[in-house]
Amino acid sequence: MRTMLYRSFPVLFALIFCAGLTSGQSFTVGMNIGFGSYSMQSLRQLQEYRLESAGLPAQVTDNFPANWTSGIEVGIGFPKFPSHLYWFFQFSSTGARVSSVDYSGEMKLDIVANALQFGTCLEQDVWRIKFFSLSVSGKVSYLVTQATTLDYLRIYDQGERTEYRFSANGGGFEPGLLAGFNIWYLRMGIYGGYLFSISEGLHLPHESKAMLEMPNGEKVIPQWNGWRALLTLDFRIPMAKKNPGKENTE
Amino acid sequence: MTKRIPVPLVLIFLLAILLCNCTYKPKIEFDRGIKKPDSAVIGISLSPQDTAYTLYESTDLNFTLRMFGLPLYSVTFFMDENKIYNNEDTAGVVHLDFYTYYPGTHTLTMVVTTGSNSGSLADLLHSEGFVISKKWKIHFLQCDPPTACQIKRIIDTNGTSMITWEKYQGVAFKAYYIFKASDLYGNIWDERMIRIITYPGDTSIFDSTALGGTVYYRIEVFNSGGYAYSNYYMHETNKSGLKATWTGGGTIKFTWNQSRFYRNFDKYEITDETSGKEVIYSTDSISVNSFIYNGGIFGGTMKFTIRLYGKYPSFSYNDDNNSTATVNIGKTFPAFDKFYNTSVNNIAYLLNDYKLSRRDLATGQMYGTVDLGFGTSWCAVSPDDNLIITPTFWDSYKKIIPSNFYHIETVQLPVSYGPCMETTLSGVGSGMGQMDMPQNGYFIYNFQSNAMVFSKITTSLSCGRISPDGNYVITGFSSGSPLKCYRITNNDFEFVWTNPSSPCDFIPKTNLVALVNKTTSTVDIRDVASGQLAFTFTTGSGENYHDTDPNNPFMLFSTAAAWNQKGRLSVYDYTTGAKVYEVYTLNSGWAPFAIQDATIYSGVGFQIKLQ
Repeated sequence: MRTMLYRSFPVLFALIFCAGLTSGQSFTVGMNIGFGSYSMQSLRQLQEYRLESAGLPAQVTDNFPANWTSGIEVGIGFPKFPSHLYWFFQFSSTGARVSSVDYSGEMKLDIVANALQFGTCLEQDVWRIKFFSLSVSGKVSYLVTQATTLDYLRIYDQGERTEYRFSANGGGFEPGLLAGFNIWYLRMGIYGGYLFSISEGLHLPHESKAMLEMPNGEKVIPQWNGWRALLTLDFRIPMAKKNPGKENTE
Repeated sequence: MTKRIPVPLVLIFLLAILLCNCTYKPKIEFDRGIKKPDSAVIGISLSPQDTAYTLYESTDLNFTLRMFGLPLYSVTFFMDENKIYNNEDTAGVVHLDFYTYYPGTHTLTMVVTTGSNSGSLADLLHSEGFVISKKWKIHFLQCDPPTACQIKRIIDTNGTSMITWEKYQGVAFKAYYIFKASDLYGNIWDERMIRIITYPGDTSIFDSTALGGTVYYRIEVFNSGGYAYSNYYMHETNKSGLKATWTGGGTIKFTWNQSRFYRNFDKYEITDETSGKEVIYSTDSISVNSFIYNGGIFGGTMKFTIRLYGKYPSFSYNDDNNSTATVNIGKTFPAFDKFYNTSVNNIAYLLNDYKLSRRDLATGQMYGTVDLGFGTSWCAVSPDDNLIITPTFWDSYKKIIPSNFYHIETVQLPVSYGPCMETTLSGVGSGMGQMDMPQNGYFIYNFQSNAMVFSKITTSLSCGRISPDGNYVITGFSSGSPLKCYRITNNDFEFVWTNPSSPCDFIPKTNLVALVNKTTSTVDIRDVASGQLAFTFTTGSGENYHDTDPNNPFMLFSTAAAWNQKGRLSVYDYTTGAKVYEVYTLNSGWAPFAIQDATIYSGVGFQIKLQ
């Protein structure tokens, strides 16, 4: 049921975008880059378990820290509500490591998790004066998580590497606030928001029943909840529309 | 518009694609800062410990490793190129097989594999460690048999024997075997091994099984090439030395040498070899070295043996330390208070110091002694020797069964009676006796069947005696009144006759009764049934009659008040009244004897001769 819901998101976004094209005033493309924090509580527990299971003296040296996130967006501007409707793609990545290194070898237990968000955003200008504007937004996205675990052990010149890939589908909602500086066709902005996400458990790609589970039977679920702080850059290109009255005067 | 849009759009998408490839890459690593160890030290302990080994036989090499904290992965021994041992323990035994490698010189190599104990990942995964090896030269040689190690001395000390011998001087020592043997009539026998010593420097032992006497020791020394015996070393000490001395009567005094080997001493045991090795004495007190025995055979020769038993091994003894003593026993009895004899079986009873001894009249052999209890001054023995009674209280009496002389039964009477008469039980085999009843009663009691024959409450009957045939009772014995004779019939007393003279004593016999008048020193012999006077004779002045068997044809009179007093003894013929013989005792104390026809018995201090 949940999977069907996730797969319906792209269709929903496409319908909204097509609807916007019919009534939009400008076409916008943009990009953003910034920092995101990620709770990843379930994956942190997985790392703790891997640390205990290793049976070797090691430490957690990376534990899903805040990391770069970036994205692109394509949208349509409207004269009233909403000010803009975007279709966006956001990429986030974080990871964790349990490691131990000495003269005789090294051990690494890594997890790298990537989030691919496809969604739509409604943005409404709430304040505008000359070049400055302040907008509120809400993003709804389809969220695909791709996680890779790596077990690596090297004793002197003998090494062993084991890698597994997992994926999970989910969704998110992210309310935000954007302060923009508008000049010419450009808008440079600073964005802040908080992503609320849900997801299914990680499983082998194309084998949704092969779930990654903790020893107590709990599923390992990627949790991308967290703050987002972005710098945005948009190009807003007015869309050419026929005005019958004006044509007549020309 | 078509000229301005493509550039930023392309740039933006290129940038987006570039960023999408920038997945997070964990870079930080936990470096534990461990240094690689360069060397390691372990300790090796071998037993026997040596830098090179010369072996004359197969040998087990015990090794122990001190790891100083290093984990041990394996210990391997090679004899030349052959693996002969592999294990993972810090201690073990490596067998060096003589027959596989003899003769020649070989190299024994020990290879120890350990962990590094550095704590590194490789160490923790047992992928890192040290390999330590050490080599020894092993020479396998043939060994000649040893020369004998002679015993140097044996000293008795501290309750044991200490045996010291020469030290083995050769190679490939294996053991000393110490043997010990006993002496049997000058011959070595019963040899057994008592100890094994496996260290060549131990050249003495303490023999805790020593008991004294003559023993033989020898040493057998073993090496890898064979063995050699020493000569026997004879050790003679502390023999038991039993001595037996007759001290009179049936009493024999034994003395012997006190054992000095107290560590193994268990007991002394004296056996009567004459009676078939009956044990007459046993004690576990080592300090005892004498014993008084009262079972000597009257006029016989007896042989006794003493044995010293050891605790180790159990009930062991040294035959040479057993000693035998022979003693000749004279024909005298000890002093006694009263004498009883029976015609049957020639049995005599001596009552002395409340103890009743039973002896054979002919041989004097003691059959045993029973304690009748303090205060017992007399007893009665039935003529057939089947019953002895001795009253202790008025409501009971003791019954002794001669077939089991030591068995005494106390028989309770139905009521409390007066004293049983001091008399021989009358009636051959009847076991009947008489007693006073309370309030001047009178009854006749069968002690064998524990049944009353009859009783009669009467004041006219006093204590009396029953005739040997059990048909008559003569009263007045203790009252001083004239004697009266009653026939016992139909559960009553039927007066038969009375004796006019008084006072007098009487002597029941088979069919006649002797009435003794002490005042006139005359004796009237009357027929028991009719009271008719048969004849009268005169005794010596002041003579007292003493009991004998009712069937005995002789009567004994003496001037002494009791048997054991010095005085004149006279013997009269019961049927004629003639004095048969007379004797004076030379010393104080009578000896017991029996008068049977012409038989003469000797005693201490006097001799009776037929006149």
